[in-house]
Amino acid sequence: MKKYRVIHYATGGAGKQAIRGIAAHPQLELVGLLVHDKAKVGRDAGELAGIGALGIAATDDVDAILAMDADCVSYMALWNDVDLVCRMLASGKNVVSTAGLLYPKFFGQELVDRLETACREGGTSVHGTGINPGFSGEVLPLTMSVLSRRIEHIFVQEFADFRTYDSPEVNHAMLGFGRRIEDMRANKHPNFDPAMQFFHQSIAMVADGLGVALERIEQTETYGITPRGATIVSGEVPPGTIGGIKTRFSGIVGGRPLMVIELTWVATYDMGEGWPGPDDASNDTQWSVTIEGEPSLRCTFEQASTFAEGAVQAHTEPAMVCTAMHAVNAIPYVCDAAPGIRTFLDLPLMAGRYALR
Amino acid sequence: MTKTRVILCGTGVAGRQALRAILDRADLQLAGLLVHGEAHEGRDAAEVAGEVHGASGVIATRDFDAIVRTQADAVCYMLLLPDIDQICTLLASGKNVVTTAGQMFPGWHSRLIEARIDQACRDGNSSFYVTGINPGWADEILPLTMSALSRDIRRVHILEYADCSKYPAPHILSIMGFGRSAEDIRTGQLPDLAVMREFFSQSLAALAHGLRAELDSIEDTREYVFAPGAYDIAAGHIARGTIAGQRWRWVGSLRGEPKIVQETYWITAFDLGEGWPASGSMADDTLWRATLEGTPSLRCTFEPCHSFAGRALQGAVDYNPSGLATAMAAVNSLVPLCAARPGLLTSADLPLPRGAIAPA
Repeated sequence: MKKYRVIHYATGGAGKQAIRGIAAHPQLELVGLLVHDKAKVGRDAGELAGIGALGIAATDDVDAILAMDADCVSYMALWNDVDLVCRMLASGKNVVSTAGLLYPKFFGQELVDRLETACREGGTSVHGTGINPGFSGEVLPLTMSVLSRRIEHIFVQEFADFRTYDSPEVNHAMLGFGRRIEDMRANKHPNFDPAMQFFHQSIAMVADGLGVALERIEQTETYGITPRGATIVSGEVPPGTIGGIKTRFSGIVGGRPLMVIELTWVATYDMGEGWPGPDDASNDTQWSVTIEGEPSLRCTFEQASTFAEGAVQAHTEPAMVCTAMHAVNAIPYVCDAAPGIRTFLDLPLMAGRYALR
Repeated sequence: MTKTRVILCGTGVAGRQALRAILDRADLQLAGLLVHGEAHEGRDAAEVAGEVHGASGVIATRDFDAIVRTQADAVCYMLLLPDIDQICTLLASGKNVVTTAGQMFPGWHSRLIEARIDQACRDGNSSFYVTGINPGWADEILPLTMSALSRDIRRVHILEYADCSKYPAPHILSIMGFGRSAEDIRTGQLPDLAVMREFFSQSLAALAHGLRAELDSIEDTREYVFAPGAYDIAAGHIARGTIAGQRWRWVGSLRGEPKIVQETYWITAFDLGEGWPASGSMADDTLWRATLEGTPSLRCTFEPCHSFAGRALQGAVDYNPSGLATAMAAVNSLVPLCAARPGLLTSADLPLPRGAIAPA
């Protein structure tokens, strides 16, 4: 069996899961680990991922990593550093990333040119992926569309419960849980709109995949107020403040919304009409894709530790594993692809090869 | 735009849906139409399709040799049963073949059939692909795309619910066996549905192949539930005490352990008791659920429906969301199949499946 030599970058929530995934995948071999944090330098990759030692020590020396012989980098830093990605590509390493780059074309020709130049130089490919964006907003609706004769409207809904998400920065500063609406509207977090661009690129990819010209994407945010308030892992959500945020993205084609993505993110379940109640969610995260057309199609997607009756659920971990594995399982496909930007529109149907054990 | 020239074989429920779609599409050009019965012979394809305005210029024929001689890039083969001789002849004549009629992973049952199709693909530099809503989308494409999110999979389970009570085709009774007696089962009078059983077995084998796991066996079993009272369905009468529901189960094992399981519940009523689909369990007449137990565990519940927005049903009386979906799985695969490498292909060998927004 051909083995692909993989360098992994970053050891956050998804990154740790990816190290476990690379170690478990019979076609992959971990050969390097790049980290930011000085405290992690020299530590074993397996140990950082919470499994047995893998014999690979973490380094923060980017040049040493670039000089290594490897087939691919799995890039799971929180933010996308285009310079670094291009250097990796030009050094002959393919890149799979969960930090953006799902559809570089959406961000303009300059980004496309930079990536394509680096890919040409290194004879490599780059692929951006994740769970949403990455699966629920692209792979699932595109895959469903193969059953369609006519598509009138595509509606992707995401539900996520942020009560156990341990990031005050994301939950309170960026999404606004526990803040007043007026304050949130007047002082939008600088990363909010850039983060939301992730979802814009999903719509652009699906429109291109279905062969229609996207005119524009409209974005709206609405807030739910919690009357009772709550204490969540990341902090306090006082009564009368934001307990939920709904962000809608409408992709306009022919003057009408063809594809709508709606994110319903909550910290409480007491916001009333139009918001989920305590019994509405079977899980921390759930997606549904509805295609209205001929025929109409609906797919709901859930992930959990197990669906066995009565089992105890882990919370954020399943989504982290999905995000990481969508990238890890793509490595052989991306390494084998022709050089260049490779999106879901260019790659084969990718499966979790050798995962059934 | 260079159009892909397509021959359609078969004008049953799904075949007519495929025909309408091919005539509608700007990137496909109907090049020939093979029909089974005399009723459609000599008629224009647009007339056979119904609901399509104007003539297509393609006349339906029963002459298979004339179809083989017709210049075309691909054949959409929608006959109920796959005729291996016909399929091989079409492939060897240089036409790619998409079918919804079975032989998804022929090597599972017959190395000989696999070798014949493979040779025909080589002779014609053509490719062969089998799809549909199930087998096909729900039990192969969907779990394969889900598996890309998995670190390890302990078990794959695919569930199908199909309410056959509204389906007007006579084969619901004659072939599938609804309304037949326990005596018929005991004396082996029921059709054994070998072609269908093989189709499902092969789709399990195709899924395993896509996951790079080679199954060592696939066992199938069939169980029945009997009508608590008499009632009528679209296809005919169900007498009290006759077959009202049946559950098929295919179990694919890896090193002796059951790893891929598909269960199909086909029913004609919703009061068949514990363990059978209850009223309200689906939006229309079919539901599929693919569950991958593992790390993490993943589940997709999938339902075709006429409309989720309350749109009224217009037009074709033979319209059935799942039948249309099956036809479209084939039609939407024609262009990618023509671009694919020659040979016997599965969904795991093709680009991510997708449709197209039809011209308004």
